[in-house]
Parts: sequence; C-alpha cells; structure tokens
Amino acid sequence: MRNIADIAILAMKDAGADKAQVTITRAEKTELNIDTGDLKLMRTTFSNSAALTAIKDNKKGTSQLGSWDLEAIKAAAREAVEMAEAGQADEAYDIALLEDGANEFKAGLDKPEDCLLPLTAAMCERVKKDFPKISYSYFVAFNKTEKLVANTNGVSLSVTDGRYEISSEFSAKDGEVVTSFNYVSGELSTLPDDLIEALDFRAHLEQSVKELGAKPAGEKFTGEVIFQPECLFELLEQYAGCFLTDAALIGGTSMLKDKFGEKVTSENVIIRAIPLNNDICRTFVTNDGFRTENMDIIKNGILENFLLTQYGANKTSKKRAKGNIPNIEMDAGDKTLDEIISETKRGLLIGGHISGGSPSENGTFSGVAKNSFLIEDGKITRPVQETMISGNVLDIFSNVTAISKERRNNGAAILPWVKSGGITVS
Amino acid sequence: MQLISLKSFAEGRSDYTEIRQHENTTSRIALLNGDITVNSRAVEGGVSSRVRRNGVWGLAAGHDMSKDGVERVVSAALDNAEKLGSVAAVGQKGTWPSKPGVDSHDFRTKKDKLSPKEVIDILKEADAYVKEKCPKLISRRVIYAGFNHEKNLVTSDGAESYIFLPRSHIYVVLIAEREDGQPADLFDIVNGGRGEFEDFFMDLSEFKRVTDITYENLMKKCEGVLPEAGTVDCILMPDLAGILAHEAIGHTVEADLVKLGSVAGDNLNKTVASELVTLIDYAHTKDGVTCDVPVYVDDEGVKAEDVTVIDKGILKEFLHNKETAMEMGAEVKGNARGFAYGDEPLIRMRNTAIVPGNSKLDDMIASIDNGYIFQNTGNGQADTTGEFMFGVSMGFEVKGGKLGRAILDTTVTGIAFDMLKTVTMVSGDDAWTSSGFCGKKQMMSVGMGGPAIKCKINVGGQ
Repeated sequence: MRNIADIAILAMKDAGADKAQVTITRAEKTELNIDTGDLKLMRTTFSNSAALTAIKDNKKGTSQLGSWDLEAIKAAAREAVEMAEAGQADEAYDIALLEDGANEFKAGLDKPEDCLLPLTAAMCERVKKDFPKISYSYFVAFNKTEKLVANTNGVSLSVTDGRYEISSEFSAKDGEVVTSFNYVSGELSTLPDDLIEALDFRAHLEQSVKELGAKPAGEKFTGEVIFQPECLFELLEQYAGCFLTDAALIGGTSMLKDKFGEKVTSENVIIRAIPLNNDICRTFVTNDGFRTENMDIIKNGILENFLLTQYGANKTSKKRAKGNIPNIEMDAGDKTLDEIISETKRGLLIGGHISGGSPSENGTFSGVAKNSFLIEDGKITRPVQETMISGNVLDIFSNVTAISKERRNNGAAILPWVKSGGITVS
Repeated sequence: MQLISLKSFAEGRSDYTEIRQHENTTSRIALLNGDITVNSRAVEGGVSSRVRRNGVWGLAAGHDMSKDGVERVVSAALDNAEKLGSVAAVGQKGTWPSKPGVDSHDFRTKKDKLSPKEVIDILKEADAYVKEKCPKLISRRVIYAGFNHEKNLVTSDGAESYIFLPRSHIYVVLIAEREDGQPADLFDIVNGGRGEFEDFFMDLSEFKRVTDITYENLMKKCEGVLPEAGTVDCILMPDLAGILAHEAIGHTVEADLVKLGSVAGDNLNKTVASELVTLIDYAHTKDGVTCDVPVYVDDEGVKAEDVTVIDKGILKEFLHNKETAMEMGAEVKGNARGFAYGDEPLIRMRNTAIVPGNSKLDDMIASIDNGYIFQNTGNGQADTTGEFMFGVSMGFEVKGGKLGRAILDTTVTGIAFDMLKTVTMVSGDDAWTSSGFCGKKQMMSVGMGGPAIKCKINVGGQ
C-alpha cells in the first residue's frame, strides 16, 4: 500500500500538483443474508480502491478508482491534476497537516469468527420460534479494512480494522393487520453468544409486535415526546446538517453560526464526539486525513464545537472538528425511562423514526411518527399510526425536560431516551 | 470498462449462475455561493458471480476484471453456496423461471466530450446567472451530478446483455430570508435525464428557465402562509404524483416486501384505487419513447417487460425476481437489479407512473373551491402499510377555482390505497424525473413521474 501511495503522490507531483494526498484502501467483506426469515445468501467481496486529491495553484481536484493497477493509478493522478487545473482557486483548499502522534492504528479482529454462520442460523430459528408474527430481513457482515492516508506534508496514517455490521428491517403481521417497518443497524467488535441480543434486536422485535392494531392518536394536541435513541440519532444528524456542518456555515444559513460559546440547548444536554471511545467501534482518522480525537460538541447547553471539515474551518475561520457523526454520545440523565414515562401527562414515545421529517434550513420539520405509542396519564396506552409531529429541531433540544439513565450503544453512537416538550402532535 | 467475454464461464454449469462485469462512474461538481466545494470523479468496478445451489445463494465479487478474476469469483460463489447450504439448504420449491434476454444498448453521448475545464466553465456561467438574476438570495448552490453505469452480464440459462447507461442532472438550490429573519429555501432539478453532460447542458437555456421559475416561486414562498391542517381537495403535480407512485404504491407491490407483510399482499385483484388510476412500471419504452432508466435485460438475465401494477383501479401484479416469481407462481418481467458490482440483484422499480387521463389542469384547478395545488417535493417516505408522508416545498392555495397565495413548507400524509380511491381527475399530460436514487439496502437509479391528479389528502399545517 505504501508503494501505491508513493507512486500516486509522485504521479500527481509530476503532473504539476503543489500538494497531493491519497487514501489507499483494501476491503474484504463476508456477509450472511436472511431473507424473510430464511438464511438465503452468503457473500464474499474483495476490493481495492484509491482516492487521489491534487491541489494546484489553490485549485483542487479529486479522482477515485476501484483498482491498484499502476497505469490506472497514474491516469487517475493526471486526471486529479487536470480537474484541479479546471477548477477555481480557493485558499481554503488544503491537505492534512503533519502532526505529532501515532501513525499506525489497529482495531478488531483479523477475520470473522468461526461462529458467524452457526450463530446466524441459530438466530433464524430463534426468531421463528419466539416471534411468529415477525417478518424480517437481516444481514450480518464482517468488514476487514486496511487503509493508508499519505500526503506531500509527510502524513502517513495507516489503519487496520475488522468489525461486524448488522442491519435489519422488520414488521409484525397478524391476519391483515400489519405494522410499519422498523429498523436496527449498528456495528460490533465481536459477536455475542446469542445474536438476537445484539443491538437490542429482541427488544425491537417485541416492540414491533406491540405496535399491532395501531390507530391515529386522535385530537391534535401539544405535548411531550420521548425520542428513543434511534430516533434521537436521526434528530442529531438533522441538527448537525442544519446548523453545525460545512454547507450550513459556509452558506451562512445556520441559525447557530454566531452562537459559538453560547447556550444553544437545555443545560442538561451534553453531546460529544467519541471516535476513540473503547465502547464503540473506533474511528481513528477523519475523512480529510487527520487523527481523530474525542471532543465536546455541546456541554451543559453551551456550543463548544462545530462539525467542520478542514475546508469548512478554513473557509469560516472556525475550528476544525476532530470527531464527527456518527461517533457521538449524549450523557445519561438521572431518571429511568419508566420514571420519565410515568411523569408524562400526554405525549408520544417515538420508537422508530420520523418519516419524511427532513427539516428545512431553519430546522422546522413535520413528519409521521413511526413505531410510536401514545402516553396518557403516565402510562403507555396504545400504539399509534397516521400521527404527525411538527416542530423545530432547535426547539427540541432547547426544551429537553428529561434524559434517561439507560442508553443504547449501536457500536457507533451511545444515546439515551430524551423527552422534549412543546411539540405538536396531530 | 474493458469488456471481458463472459459466456464461456457460464456455459454448461449445473447450478444456476450469473456473472456480471459492472462499473459505476460518479461525477460531482458543487458550487456554493460561487466556490467550488466539490470537484470529483469516482470509478468503482469489478466482477461478481452469484450461484444458486439447494435453494440458497453464494455470491462473490472482486475488483480484478481479468479472466483469472472471473474464474476466482465464480469458484468462490460456488464455495459460498456450498458452505451456506451446509446449514440452510432448503431445496428447490418449484420450477426455476427462465426468460433469457439477449440485448446490447449503448447510450453514451455521440457528441465530443468536454474537458473538465469546459464543464466547470459552463457551471460557473450557470452560477453567475443565478447570482445576477436572483439578487435577494442569502445563499445559492449549483450542483452537477453525473452517474453512469456499464454492465456486461451472462447467465447460465442463456442471457447475454450489455448496457452503458448515463444520467446527468443539475440541481439549483436557492435560499432567501423571510421578513422574520428565517431562511426559506427551494430547489429544483434541471432534468437532463438519460445522457451525459454534453447531451443537455451545452446550452443553458433550460437551466435559466428553471432558475427563473424557482426564484419567482421562492420570492412568493417568502411571503407565503401556513396551510390549514386537515383533509382537503388538492392537486398533486407530477413531482408529487411521481413520488406517490414510487414510494407509496410501488414499494408495497415489490414481492420481497409483500413477503415481508406489505399491505398489498392481501389486495391482489381487489379495488385499491379509483377507476381513473392505472399505474405501470415501464421497462424501457413508453409510447414509443425510451424511458430515462431503460431496462432491457435485468441482472438475472430476464428479458424486461412492462408491469401493469394497477389497471383501472384494480391491483393486478406485483414486481418479481426469479425467486419470488417461482414462489408465487408469477411471471418474471425484469425487475431484479444490483447497484454495484458486488451487490445481489434485488427487486427494483424501473420507470413507474400513473398513466395520464383526460382532464385539463385548468379545469382541475377550476373544480376546487377551497384547497391546494402542491407542486414540488423535497422528500418523501412510505412504508409497507401504505402510509406515506411527503414534504411539500412549493404549493399554492386554490380558492374559488383560482390560484391564491403561496404556502410555506408543509407535509401531506395518508394511506395510499385509501387516498387513491379519492382520485376524481387525472390530467392528460405527464412529466418525468430520474434524478434521485431509490434506497432499499442498495441505491438504485429509477425513473418516476406521471400526470397531475386531483384527490383528497391530509395536509399538515396550523
């Protein structure tokens, strides 16, 4: 890989690049697929790829290819420089800077455990037996990745990583009554003894069965909504996209662009990037080629960091982010989920996602609350469907009234259940 | 892509085998307020083989597009099928469908290719037009997205196909500030469709036309009002009718999702819509014109045909791959496609739309006393219950049969098969788009569109 990187960098310099950076990747996947409850496909894939970035006269071009063929690498190097020459000068373009620290990182297993196939087959049988009303598709994959990031600044960071990836979609059906799809996805360093317990899959299936017979929530009301961790993650992605990342800050549309160091959420909100947390599958290098670090994003309601790339940081004269979504955590609160539900007069528990709820630039959204339950007088009373919630993601995090002690770890993020008020349910 | 002769690798195999050489090329150039924030081209290609033995599948894929590489993936796919069969063999449950297609189509541009500089210069000219003609913006984005896929496929039951299929679009995103200081945004797509940059954008007149309309609408939206919440008469313009056809109906009739419990499963040959509604998933040609996403032979080697999903309100057919067709006793019509070279073919829509009717849009508007016309959507989702939700990024009130004020962003929701029964008018003309990717485990290029339809729908609002 080192040799490929050197050839790519040299080829870009020969073609006229002032600065050059490459990411060389070798990936292997072993995957098992369950289709409608039956183990149906086993897949192995092998891929080599390279991403070449050239900067010339403050202009930038990127060419990526799925091959390490040396002639193809050299052609891609010429193409990256040609694309840079065609571009537009911008002093914010740069490549990763050389910094002190470790240059080699290794995490996870070298190959999938022998138990992968028997565990998956056993899980198939377990779901059939324990959840006859559930229909589902599922895959578990072991991804082995070797990656080298190198550039003309002398950066040379290599990462060897092996991790499992799991994803499933499922619904419950009883006669002609069917629930909305729900989803589970995440990563694992090693397999558990019983795969149905990984990523709380069993709990999700139980919840799906409870959703049978859902009806509209009824009259429109303004109340409290408890967001399950999976839904909270989507909200955090939307919050970041609207207010904290490159496009919103460079474009100047972020409502938080001038709020650095100021209170932007409820005081009980602590959100941090955790790329190096040992409880998740770690990320060692950022997409733009820097070592990652854990960092606070929001601490006790105060905005501590934006989520800017090197380009975004240069463009806006703000700090570059050392960690980013999806590797985030939100600190736990001081009440159990049961206590939070018992203290809710009228509201919703959103167990899945908000369908179609992508917010506009100012964070306003409305969408259908999927996989959700009505809460009345401190108790979950019934599942709901055709129920819309509307609000603003800024307001949701400014009106946090409770955070659960319990958190879910999907291998990338660790998040609690969060209750927020003043949300319209219709 | 340097084509490999694959036929000899598939001939004489006792197990059903597919071999696919497949390369995707993605080009993306993005200008944010005049700055080029993305300028990239990515190529990803390789060879895969999928083998069926004892009712289970083995698949292997690699980037090595040599004859040795092909031999390795075919052998590894068979090994995987063996290994999986050792714990999960189910045997064959019926007659394996076979309708092998032989076809070759190359849609690459016939024009001289532009250099990267020439492409960027055109995009800069486009951005300069937006800057000059849209003075009240606080932010603007012009994004070119090109995507080509090239496939070379053989199957052991005799299919042989080749296709080079490019698509190109420019997105224009305009953001202005309302009086209350809140940003308001609107985007539209300069719909290149099937073809390369050179086929559509050497002349920017269509870009300018779309930009002018988008800016005019954004200015109206800045002074827009929240719609009244509730169930109302409305007109869904093709943008929304297309996403309705794809998301709220099309996915529910994909046979793999029917197996997972989709609401469509219990409704075959039942009335699910007004008799004005006929919905077709076109394979490659509509009314003699090649569709934006033509599929002549799918990735299981099946010769592709149209699927009439709903015929005059009656649900008639599901979309199948070979396995679901075998299980359900249905006919395969070419709906199985894989996105990348290592992806197995999944059941996918191709070009899905409600068939135009006989009404005129003016008459449709005139027939509404108090309702809305919804023009643009930014997002939409539906699930297998048929419950859908689409964001509306541009629309107008209709009062007394005439267009009224613009409305702010809102959402429309409903249950597809309930809502389709309320359709009372369908316009005689249609419009198509193919800019998005459908996400269903893998991404996929799809076409969607249709006429304007008048119906009753639930509107979110104040």
